[in-house]
Amino acid sequence: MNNDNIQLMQGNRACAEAALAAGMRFFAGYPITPSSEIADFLSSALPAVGGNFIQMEDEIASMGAIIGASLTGIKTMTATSGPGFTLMQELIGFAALCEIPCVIVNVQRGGPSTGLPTSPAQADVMQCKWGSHGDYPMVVLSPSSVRETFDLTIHAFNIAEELRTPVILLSDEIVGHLYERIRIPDISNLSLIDRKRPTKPPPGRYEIYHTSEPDGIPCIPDIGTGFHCHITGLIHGKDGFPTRDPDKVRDLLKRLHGKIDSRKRRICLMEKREMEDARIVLCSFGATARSCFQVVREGRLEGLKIGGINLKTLWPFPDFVFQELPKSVETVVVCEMNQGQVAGLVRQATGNRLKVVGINKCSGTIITPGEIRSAIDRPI
Amino acid sequence: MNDANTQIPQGRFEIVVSGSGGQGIILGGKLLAETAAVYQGCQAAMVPCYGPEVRGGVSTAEIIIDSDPIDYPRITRPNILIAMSQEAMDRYAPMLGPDGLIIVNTTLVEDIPEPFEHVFKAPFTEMAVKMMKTPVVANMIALGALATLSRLIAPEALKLTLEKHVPSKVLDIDCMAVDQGVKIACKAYFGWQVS
Repeated sequence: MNNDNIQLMQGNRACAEAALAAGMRFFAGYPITPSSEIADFLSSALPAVGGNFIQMEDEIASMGAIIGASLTGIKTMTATSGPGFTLMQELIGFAALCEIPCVIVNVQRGGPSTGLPTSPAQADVMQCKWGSHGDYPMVVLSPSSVRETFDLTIHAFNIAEELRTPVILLSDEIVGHLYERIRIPDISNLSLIDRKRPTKPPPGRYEIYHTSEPDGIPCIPDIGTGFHCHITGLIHGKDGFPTRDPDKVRDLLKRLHGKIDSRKRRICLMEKREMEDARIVLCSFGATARSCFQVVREGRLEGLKIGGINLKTLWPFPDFVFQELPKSVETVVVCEMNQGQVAGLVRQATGNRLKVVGINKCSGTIITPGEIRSAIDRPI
Repeated sequence: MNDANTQIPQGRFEIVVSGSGGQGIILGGKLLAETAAVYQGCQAAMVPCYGPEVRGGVSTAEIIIDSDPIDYPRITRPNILIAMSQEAMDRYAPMLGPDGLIIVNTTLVEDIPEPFEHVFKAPFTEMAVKMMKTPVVANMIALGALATLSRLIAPEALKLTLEKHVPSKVLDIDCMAVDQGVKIACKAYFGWQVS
């Protein structure tokens, strides 16, 4: 047996390895538990492949640095946890508005505030979407295993590049620190996407934010390649300069949302198990999805009609999944280490057609299969 | 790397390696899980659990070794506990079933709970200091003993994993420590094995 590609790898390391495989060549960050292993590894691995690693003075500066570097045409990333992620919010909004591709890794720990540095939580789901002010779309991916961390990091860079948008990889302390057996995929076979860019300045004016479709993606030149680029956090027209023209304001904001929403089914990844004839569906994401799948596996052996969904994409929220559930489904049980952030979204998606129940835990410890099982064994 | 003395375990095995920060607990857990994953053809997962301290505080590695894919990666009812400190013993022994195996570092553990039938006792830290002139390889003696008693991993495979992770100047002492663990476990072998 060829054991060459089989390793025991940590989730955080898999994220860093995947970022390198995706072509990420600039990382700026401020190490914070439980994400530090990402920065630690990249501090030596990035220079070794000709990339740049900068340990910044804080997370605000880290976010600024990856935005700036990205505008020069490089794939960029930062990694943090709750307290640092909070500091990054302003510039995440800037990246969304100015359509600057970048990947932000948030390995969630217990909060609020400094919270529980070495304990898991999944309470940043809403912050990922609504953390910065104003209406902006966000793509948020949530891995539940080491292999998924690898795959979703690649997916994150591909979406960021194709749609010119910041993408958040929302891991958690358990998945980030978990070591698992993983067969590293052949890097040369990965399908990677690079942003479209104009090659040389045309003779006339070049509108950097021009798109021909209302949900199109602009072909923004790399800064330093001879184009005149104006990038601003003010609402801008196609030329990149500030505007208050109501039509232009509306068109920009509609396009920002449209470019994500119109590609929702492609962005939204999930794993479903044992869904045919299921009466109860356990829905979760991240580390907690592992507990759910354990309950599904054991429950099926006992003849329970139970299925499971692991949401690998949390934003845009895959509401269509819940509208297309098999007819047999009566109850959706949403398990999450927070007060019910995803459960609310599932309720919204199902309307009043299904019973939606939350199993929530905010104690800095994972929801165990035993806890889920005893909750569903009680009459729901 | 599956020699005659090692069997690929069927089903799920949960192992807890626990002690104080600084005892190489997480490294020990990593080596165990990696050996199982890379050389024994098993599914393996390891979850490190520790507080914010660098030294002291309880440090624990939870290891799952399974012949099937692992869904829940945390321990629920451990089969084996390596207790390197009293606090580790007090915290994790109650989670073991009565048929569990406890491997005890008697240098730092005085009280061993009553009901357990399969207990392997050795002063790992004292042995490490006496033979290898450093307490830090106590974890490797314990892993050598675990390999021998449980047959979940082969000691020689464990050494191959060690080669990848420890600097060459200390590899010899680490391998000696593993051999020492194998030796004392063989000597004291009392018939417990993975069933």
